[in-house]
Amino acid sequence: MNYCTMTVNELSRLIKEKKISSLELTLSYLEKIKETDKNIRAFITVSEETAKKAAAEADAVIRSGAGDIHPLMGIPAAIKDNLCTEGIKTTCASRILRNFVPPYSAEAVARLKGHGAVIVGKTNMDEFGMGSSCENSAFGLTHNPLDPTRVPGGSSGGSAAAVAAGLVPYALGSDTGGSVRQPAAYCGVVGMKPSYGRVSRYGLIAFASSLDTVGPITRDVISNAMVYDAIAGYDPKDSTSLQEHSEAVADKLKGSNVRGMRIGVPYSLIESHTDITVKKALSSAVKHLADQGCEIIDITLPDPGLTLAAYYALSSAEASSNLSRYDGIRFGERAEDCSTIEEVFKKSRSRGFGPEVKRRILLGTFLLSREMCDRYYKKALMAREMIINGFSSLFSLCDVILAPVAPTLPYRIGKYSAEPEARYSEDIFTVYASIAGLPAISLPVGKDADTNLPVGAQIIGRAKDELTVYRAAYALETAVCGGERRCGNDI
Amino acid sequence: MKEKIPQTVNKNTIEKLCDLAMLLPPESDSEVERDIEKLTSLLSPLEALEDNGPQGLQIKQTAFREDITADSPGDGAVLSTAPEVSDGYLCVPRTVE
Repeated sequence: MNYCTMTVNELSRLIKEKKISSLELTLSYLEKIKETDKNIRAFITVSEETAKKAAAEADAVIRSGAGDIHPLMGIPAAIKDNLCTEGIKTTCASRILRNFVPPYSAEAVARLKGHGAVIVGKTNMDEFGMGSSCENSAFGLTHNPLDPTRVPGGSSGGSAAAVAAGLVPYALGSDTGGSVRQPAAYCGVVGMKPSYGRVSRYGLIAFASSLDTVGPITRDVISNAMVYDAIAGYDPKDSTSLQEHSEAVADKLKGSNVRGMRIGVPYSLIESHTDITVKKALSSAVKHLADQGCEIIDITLPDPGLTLAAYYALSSAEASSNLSRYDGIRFGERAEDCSTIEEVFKKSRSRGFGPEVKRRILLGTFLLSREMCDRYYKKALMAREMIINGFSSLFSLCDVILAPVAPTLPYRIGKYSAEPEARYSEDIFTVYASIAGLPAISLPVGKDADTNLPVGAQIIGRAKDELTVYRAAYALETAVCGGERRCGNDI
Repeated sequence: MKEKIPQTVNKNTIEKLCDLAMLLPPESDSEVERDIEKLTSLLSPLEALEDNGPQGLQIKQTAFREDITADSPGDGAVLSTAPEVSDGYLCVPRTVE
């Protein structure tokens, strides 16, 4: 049996029914990683011994028959390398943290481990989350498993590639401006950005604190909901954690009816900002939902230029502040040829950070300077509130919004190396949910006829209404894939 | 007192920004200048907003957690990640002349 193409939901059933042990499953995935990852480079660290130990512990719990087995018990997972994992190197794909071993685990990771998840390794990413192609890692780039000449997307490119290639059945990523949704779309898998505050940011190494979220990447929607249920919920260690009860969603999807659900579609923006393949796939997705009895409503999203500007102003400003902690003193790499404290700071940081990170730190520093603060940063704060208000109005007209994730198919590696900032405008569809703090899930809705590359669509919902987002996604996935739960290519 | 950052980006601006950001001056000023100018042109829609925004607009304030102490992970755990320690202290170049 080829476990590496199975979903979390399917594996969970096999484990509960004792048809496979966690150790057997974990060894399968570790073997697949050894065979395949040298071509994809999804992982920065593979923690084989830790994984085997966790698998054996999970098997002991399952054998003991004590109480209910959590759905994620014994199932291997990968963690993006900006989530702290106690005792396992956590680098953020940066030289400055290349030997950093955290003394604690992120809350999302701790919850998974508490439910018996088996962490097999840490995945590659754009350095500190800054990027959308996984080309900005200090440890080499990750290749799209569906076409190795193309990017897997980013910044959670390693996590998306690992799931798409069958190296793990699920992974955690982080999404600040699209970094779970876009690589999920590029790799033909499902990626969820929860509402801001829904999943604890404790232990997520900060990029932009008012935008960062943690989200699951899986092969199908119901598995995604299962992982989401395990990590969502209030955490007093995170001051921005939502205190409202987080409703479980996975057990509410099967049999759920979306007839009458109002789907907002930004036709004009799709027409002006996507290529023909993405347009066709979105059109097909709209038809699938209409065929299930949904009401389709033409909507206009808030100004895309303003939204993109607000995102880059706020994220750069916050990044420049968050990354000021990397000074070569308390953790991370320290430059050795220094005779003054100022040299320690400047040399450690300049040598430790990559060019994209330095670019954004400088931009953020510029925007937060006394002369520029009113001109850009404060206006970005205002723009965010205006965009949030804009979505409140939209959600009186519709229940969810269906939109593209990316304007094009995954592009070739190196396309933007001459002009790195040219790729920022590719974030046009993902930054909306980020700026407004809304839940949004990306799932495959079609393929390009010539290249067989996947096209993803995203479903954006009201703040804190992950259930409606998942219900709409499940219905769309059912229609797109027929009875087959897995979308995207099986590698 | 540090000098002001001018509203246009030039070699002086880059040097001052690097100083504030605790980075070494770049090898190529012109590349950084070009980067910042391109990025600020992306931000130009913000300049069109009125200074105080639409009437009634309220900007959310930072969420603070309760100001209570929590258990420390302990010196061992905290110092385990430091590049250089000695006798329970972080080692750095001389900071006071």
